[in-house]
Amino acid sequence: MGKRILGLVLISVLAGAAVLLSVGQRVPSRESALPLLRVLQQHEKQADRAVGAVIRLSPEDERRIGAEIDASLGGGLSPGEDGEELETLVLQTGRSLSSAPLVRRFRGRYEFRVIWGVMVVNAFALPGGYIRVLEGLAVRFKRHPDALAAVLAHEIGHVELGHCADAHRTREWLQKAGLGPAGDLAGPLRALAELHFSEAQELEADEYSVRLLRSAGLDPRAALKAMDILAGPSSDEARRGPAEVLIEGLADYSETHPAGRERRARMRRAIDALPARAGVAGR
Amino acid sequence: MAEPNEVKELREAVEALNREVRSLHAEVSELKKAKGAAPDSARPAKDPLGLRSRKPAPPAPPAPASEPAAFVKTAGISTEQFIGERVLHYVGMLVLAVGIGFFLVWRAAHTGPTEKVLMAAAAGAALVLLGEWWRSRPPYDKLTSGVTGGGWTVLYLSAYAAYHFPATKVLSDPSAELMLLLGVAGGMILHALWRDSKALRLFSFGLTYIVLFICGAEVASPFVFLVLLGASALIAVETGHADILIVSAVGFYLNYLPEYRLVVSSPEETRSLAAFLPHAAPLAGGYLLLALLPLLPRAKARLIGTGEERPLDAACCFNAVVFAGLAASMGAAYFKTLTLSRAFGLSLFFVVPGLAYAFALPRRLAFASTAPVLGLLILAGGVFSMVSPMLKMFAWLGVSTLWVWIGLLLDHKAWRVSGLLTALLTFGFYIHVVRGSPADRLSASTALYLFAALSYLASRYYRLWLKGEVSAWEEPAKELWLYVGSAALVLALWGSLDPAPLAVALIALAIAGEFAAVFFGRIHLWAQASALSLGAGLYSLFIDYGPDVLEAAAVSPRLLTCACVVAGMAYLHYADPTPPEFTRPWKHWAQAGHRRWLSWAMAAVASLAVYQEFDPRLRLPLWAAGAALLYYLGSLRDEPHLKAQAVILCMTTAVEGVFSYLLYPKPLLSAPSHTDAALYWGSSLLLLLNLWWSKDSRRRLTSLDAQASWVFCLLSLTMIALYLVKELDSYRLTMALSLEGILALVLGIVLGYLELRLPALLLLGGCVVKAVLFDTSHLPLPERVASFVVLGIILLAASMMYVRIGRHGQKDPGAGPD
Repeated sequence: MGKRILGLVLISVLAGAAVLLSVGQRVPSRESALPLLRVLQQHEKQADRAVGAVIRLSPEDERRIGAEIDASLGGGLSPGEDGEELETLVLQTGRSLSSAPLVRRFRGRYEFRVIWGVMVVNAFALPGGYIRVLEGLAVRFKRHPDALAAVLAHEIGHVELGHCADAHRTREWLQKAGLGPAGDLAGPLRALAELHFSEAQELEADEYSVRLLRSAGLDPRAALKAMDILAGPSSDEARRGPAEVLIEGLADYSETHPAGRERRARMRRAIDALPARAGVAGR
Repeated sequence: MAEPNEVKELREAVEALNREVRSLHAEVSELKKAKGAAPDSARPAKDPLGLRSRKPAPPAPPAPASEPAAFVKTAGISTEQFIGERVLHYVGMLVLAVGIGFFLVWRAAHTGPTEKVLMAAAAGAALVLLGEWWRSRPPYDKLTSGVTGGGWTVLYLSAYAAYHFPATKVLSDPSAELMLLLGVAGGMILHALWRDSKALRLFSFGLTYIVLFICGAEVASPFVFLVLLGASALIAVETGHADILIVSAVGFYLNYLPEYRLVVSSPEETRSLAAFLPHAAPLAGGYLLLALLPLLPRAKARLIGTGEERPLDAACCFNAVVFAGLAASMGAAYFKTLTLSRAFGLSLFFVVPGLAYAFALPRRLAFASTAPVLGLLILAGGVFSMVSPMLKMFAWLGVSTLWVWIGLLLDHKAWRVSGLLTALLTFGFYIHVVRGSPADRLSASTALYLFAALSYLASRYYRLWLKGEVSAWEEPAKELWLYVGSAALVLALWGSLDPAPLAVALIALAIAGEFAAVFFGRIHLWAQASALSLGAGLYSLFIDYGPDVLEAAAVSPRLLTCACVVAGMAYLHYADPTPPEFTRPWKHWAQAGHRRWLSWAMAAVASLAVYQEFDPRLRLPLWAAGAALLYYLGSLRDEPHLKAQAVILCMTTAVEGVFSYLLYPKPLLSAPSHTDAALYWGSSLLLLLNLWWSKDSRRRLTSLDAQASWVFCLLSLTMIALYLVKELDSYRLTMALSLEGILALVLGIVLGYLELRLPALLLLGGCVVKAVLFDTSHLPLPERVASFVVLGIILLAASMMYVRIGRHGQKDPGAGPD
């Protein structure tokens, strides 16, 4: 009898909670596989981080690796009419960031370059501090130097947090230990790891960029502005079918960056978490 | 070779001879008896010629050519007589027939149309008479049907040719032609009825309709066929031959086809309901005539329950199906759409007779089931053509459940099953509508709530009204409605609530479902509730609360939702309101197994909620506390799965500690606080509490406890050691690790836990290795001294303790404290 009374009370409480959730939510919830995927992705490359604590890759080795990759990329086509102006903008912005106190691993040694003829809106970081900006991104951010700084700070974050080194550390160590073929055998696995940074690493780089902007004396809210310029329309549709949820989950995994909706929110929380500084408010 | 009829005559003659012999034998016996001799009648008369044996009579020996065969002598007919009386007869008939044929051919080329027609008619009449004459003359009676039918065909063709062929055209008035044809048809039909010949009967009716179809232009109005159909029906009833109805139905609809073509090809500007109805009226009349015929008392008495049921059934089914197809297609082609009102009107042609059949006729008749199905299909077409998806859904729901309830009230399978199959399509409509605007979604969900209620009622009345009266294949339908109702309810909730309140509502529904199952005694309801409780937990793992969930409300909706779901599942698992004996008949899964799965789902939901809701540094103590609670409950209730969950949670705690504390990127870290350190240390030590419970000898300890104790101990000591490695260096690290080792050793000796002593010894050994290999070469001398001295003292103290106290703990390494 007691169990039944308890059950009835519980049903009433649950019903009340359901009503409360239905009425009190400011933002509607929706079905999605992303929360569960995030949990997996948070630890996707933790193995690299654990390996990094044991197998150290010296900054010199990392820089050498980065130089080799950079040399193989080339500079692309010749710059256009305003190429010199864009190149100068990228260089100046990057150098001011790389000399901030928060930059420790390759401070003062970062190299920034524009790859011409590729109109994709993207930038990427190589081990050792080589930051490359594609022409499409440089053109889009031409009139928003503060947002460009946020993008460059994000890429610097990948280098400073060791994300770039993770992809090459194991192979480098095996080759040094005279186990080159083993490194080659590990090649396909590493190739998969090199495809992109994990979503967790991207979010960490976002958080770093906010801190770096503050450290360099810039407004951290420029990171949100950069998101607005970069991000496409995000779907906030609450009611979706199982097929749409599945496609979103699969597409998210193959995307180079997490969905804008989530990144904006986390970036805003990171900005709010910064200690207040005169003249540069967190909100 | 003897001819068959001569052998027959021979046998008849021999039998006559035998009868005469037996008669004579009997007379002799009587005479002997009269004189005093023993009669010889005990023995059966011999069969002198072997005719009584089963074997066929041996063939007569071949007669010499010079002597005629025995049968000739037996029959008493000479060859000459045979030729004269029989052979000449046939040859003469044949020659005469050929001569007549030549005559007819010659005359046909030299005669006028009238004479040709008359000659053909005469030939036809002659054949008919010949057939009649042969009827009583075996073996020619076998040819009667063919010859008679052929004769009537010739007469038909003669009548047809009298108007349609220029060479034989004698009639100029199509009405006269029609009357002539009908007259011939009537004669043939009367002849067939008089003779009660099935073949001739079917042929006569069929030929009538076919010829009229060919003469379509002469038939001024399709109502003529309606009259013919009526006449056919009357003849069928009065003669008790339902097969007439099949042929008549086919002929009627065949002859309606020109009218059909006329209607669908009419100019669009002239189309209207008023113009349509006169064309449709004969079609409807013909259908109703046959559809309502079985309800007439006289027809019912003469055609149902007699040998005519099957052809009647076939005729009525054919009538219904063809009418449905013609009427629906004609209406759709004429009006371009099939609206609900028109579909409703058309469906009444089936629903009303269907209801009448259900009351008046036996269930075994197929057409009694065909009518409701066709009516439903037509109504479904009308509903499907509705524009508004929401109205479509309500209408579909109404129609399908109405059919089911009629089937329940009338106890008629066809209504029930067709309604059920149609009702299942409601879900398809719902999925389509629910993607629309919020208002559409709410309305669709309301409809589905209604559907759920009706389904539950249907399930209840299936069980109440149809006990033991349904066939084996319909037996599952009693429970199927229960599943339909539950599925409808869940989908309705899905459409009307957001995912977060939905998850809470589902777990509440699961609890209510288990109560209801026990109350109503429905094991299937329990099965649904148990599946729903698991489903609610899994569903809650796939809810995205939005990126601003932490700012969404005073209480985090994610935390509230997960807490409610976990509370519901915990109630089912720990309080378990369902008696085990109630669920024993359910064979697909056991109640105990379900509760185990529920505990795992609960652990997953709670873990994910903690992971998403709390800062990484707060997760650690929460998981450690959760592991301790789970292990305690597992020990208390003797449930291994709870202990296993505790072990996994401990591992998760350790992994979280490593990644969120030890390996987290320094640039993203704030300055470490005492609170963080306290949380980390507290979590590590909390793991040791599980070690206490896993070694508690007051309860029954299993191998799982033994394995778990090692896991707890190793994890705890490793977490502490890694923290020290991260925070300290050089000689301080050596001293701190040594201190950890000695404390663990002391605890292990005092409590008698091998799980503490062995790792402690390993730790101390590691300190020795570090001191020798690293401190020696990398530390300056003062620090080196401190490192070695402290380590040495600790090792000596450990050895002393082993000597003095360790002997007690070594009695039973796995035992608890003394």
